[in-house]
Amino acid sequence: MLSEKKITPGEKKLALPLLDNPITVRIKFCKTGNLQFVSHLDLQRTFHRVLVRANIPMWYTKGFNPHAKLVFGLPLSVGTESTCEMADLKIERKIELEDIVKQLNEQLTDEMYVLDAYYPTTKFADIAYADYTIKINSTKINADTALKATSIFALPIFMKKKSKSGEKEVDITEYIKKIQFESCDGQLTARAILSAGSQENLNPEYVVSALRCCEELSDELNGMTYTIMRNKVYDGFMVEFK
Amino acid sequence: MNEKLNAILKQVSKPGRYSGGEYGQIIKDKSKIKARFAFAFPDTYEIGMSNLGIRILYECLNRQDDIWCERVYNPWVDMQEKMKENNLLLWAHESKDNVRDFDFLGFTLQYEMSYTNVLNMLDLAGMPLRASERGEEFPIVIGGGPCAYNPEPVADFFDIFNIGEGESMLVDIVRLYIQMKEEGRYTKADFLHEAARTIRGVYVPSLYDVEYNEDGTIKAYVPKYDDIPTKISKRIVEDMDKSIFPDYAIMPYTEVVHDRIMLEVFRGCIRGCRFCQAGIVYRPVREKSPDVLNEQAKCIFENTGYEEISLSSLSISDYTGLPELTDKLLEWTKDNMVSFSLPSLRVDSFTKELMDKVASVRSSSLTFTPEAGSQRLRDVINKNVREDDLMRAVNVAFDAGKTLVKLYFMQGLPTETEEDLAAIPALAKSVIEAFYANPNRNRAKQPQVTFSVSPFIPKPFTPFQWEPQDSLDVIKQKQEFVGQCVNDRKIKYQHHDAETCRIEAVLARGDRRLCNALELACREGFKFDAWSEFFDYDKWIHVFEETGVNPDFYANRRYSFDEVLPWDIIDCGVDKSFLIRECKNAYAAETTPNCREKCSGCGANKLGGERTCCPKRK
Repeated sequence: MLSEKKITPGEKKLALPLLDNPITVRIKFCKTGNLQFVSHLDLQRTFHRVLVRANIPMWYTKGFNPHAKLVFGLPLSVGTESTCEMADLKIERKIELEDIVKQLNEQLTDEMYVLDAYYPTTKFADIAYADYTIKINSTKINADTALKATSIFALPIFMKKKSKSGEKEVDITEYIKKIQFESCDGQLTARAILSAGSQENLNPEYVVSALRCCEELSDELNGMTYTIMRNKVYDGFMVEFK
Repeated sequence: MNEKLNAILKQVSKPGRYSGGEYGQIIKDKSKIKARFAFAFPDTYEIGMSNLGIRILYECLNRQDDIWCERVYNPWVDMQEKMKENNLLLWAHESKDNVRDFDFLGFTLQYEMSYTNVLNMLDLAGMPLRASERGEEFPIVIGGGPCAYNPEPVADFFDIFNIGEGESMLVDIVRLYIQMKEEGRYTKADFLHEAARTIRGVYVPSLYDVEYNEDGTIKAYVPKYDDIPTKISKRIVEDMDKSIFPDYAIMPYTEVVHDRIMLEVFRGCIRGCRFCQAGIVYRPVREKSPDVLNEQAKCIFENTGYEEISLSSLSISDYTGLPELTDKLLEWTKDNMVSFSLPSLRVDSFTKELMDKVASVRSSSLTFTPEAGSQRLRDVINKNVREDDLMRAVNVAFDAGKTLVKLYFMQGLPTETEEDLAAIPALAKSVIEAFYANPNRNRAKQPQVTFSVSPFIPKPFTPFQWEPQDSLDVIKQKQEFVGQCVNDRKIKYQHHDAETCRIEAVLARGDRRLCNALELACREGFKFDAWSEFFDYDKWIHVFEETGVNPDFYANRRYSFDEVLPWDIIDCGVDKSFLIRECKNAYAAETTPNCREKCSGCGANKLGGERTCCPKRK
């Protein structure tokens, strides 16, 4: 069963004027809810189809196996939500930035959508820190839990940490720029600025593990559930990265 | 539920397959819904998401405003453990609500080895396995798909089976349910009786008693009411152009097996290979028009952004509109960087022209299915393909620079001899020789022929449905014999697991007495039996012994032409007399022309159908 209207795929995109040289557009998007469980690799693989659906005039590599040029910023680990994900798109036709946002959002869901599109002035390699909110829920958490947590993070915390060069025991507090705890009945909240990027990186899950493994908190955190949200990223001078 | 689930998802492998939230999934307002349908695929998300049938039926049900159909998959074993630890029940993908609270739970029965997963999922859902033990508070459990053509081994676990194509049947069933509820005359028993009485293709196994002879064969199927059919006729979609076909896809985030546009070109097959169940039960052939297909492909592309279109049908090169369709597709696919692929090809129809059109496919390998090594045996199975055809086809591939060829064969076919078996590796060898004799071959690379041999499994509604499978020892001896004939490193030999094929044969030709064995299998924790790492033959034999099932009776016995078969309760449209005639032709090594050349009077044309290619209907 078909509609009367015949379609010509790609028509909308191909009608846009070609640019003299392809340009890069950065999009900022959120990835929350169910979408936190989509891995970085899976996102890279599936985002190409979003770009095609949205008729974004992507520039394609000219080789035997042409593919669109799409570069993601700081990888987000599975189980972490974010409101500050970024990706660079290389486009070859003239299109308004607001149209990019509009067309992409028509093809995305309310758990992952584009917040902004702009011409970037920075490089992803300059990302050095990321700001996270970690919320831990458990019935026995109380106002004193934050104090205990703060004292734990005042001393070195040695943990086995995976990196490209293998697993080794490190003091994770060396990767923590700043961490603050607050607690009330049932909820412990941590606001943490952690090393992030290709040089040094700390997965916020380590902060959760450090708390969970800690004897002083074992009673309060028994049966805990938690969420992690990435709020912002910074460069090496602690200037918000855009 | 959601918070608990999210906490668990942080602890399991590939959580993206459980989280849902895909682009294209259908979410409805529960307050406006009169019936909720959970459509289950009894295997992992990765496999279930690749199934076109579910996508079609999901769309058919969801086109109804007051029905909401959701998807369900079997969670992987690590997830199952976490569910038990946390008292979580099996949930539906879209809403995350418990499947147990739905009005309907449908299972697609795609392969026999998924039966243990069906029971595993009922158990995870917190439902009694047997239909007779499920009260009014539980969903109606429906089974359909190719294995429903002999549903007897799982008959006790289902309320309803759908025989044939579900597009309109499923909606009819749910409509009747809604109507009876609204009229205040619904009870499960009354509903099942009325569905069996009024909806074509509905089989309610509990409404039929099975009587057995002393020798263990079936004496009769006895309906419990006079007003229900004594044989359940298959339902078909008559006009494929007008059939519901989703013009979108639910876009998985995690990697799934087939992640591309699947375009169903036609149903049925003109060929009639004598071992093939699909070739019989999907008759009559019904084609879609090239224009309709092209427009559908464009629509799906716009709605998905997929980079590949797969033309899917049983024997794609038999499609009368193939040149027209591929030309039409090429008009727009190139500009949009979309390639298209064809599934396994018949060697007699593989041409350079076809090859050039699919040249954009990146794969360097081509797959052909000669099924048997010798011409005599290919005639027995009615493959109607000659060695010359294969050689011509591989030369087309070699001319184009391809170096990898895959060949599929079967062993243990009726009348098979040692020469027939020896002819399999010999054929692989002549493909290698053909490569070196080809002047246009790719000189930079070595050729590689991979041939795979699977043991013959007799399937219901085939001319070979009465034939015994080889005993386990013989299957293994033959596998070894074929292996010994391979002495070339450019030839790779693969074979299927003999034990799995034996259990599959038992389940394929089984009757209702197997339900006890499957129930015990579930209690003993059987699951994912289609996965070699979970399949345990000794445990299956133990389960059969405990429940008094003799596997030889089902796998290795020659069923007689005049006995009542477990699947005789079902009419797939093709007459038994045709199947007997074809079985006799096989023993005489007589081939039967394909449906387009000449009608062989199988009987399926009584079902109707548009663009059927049946000469008798023209």
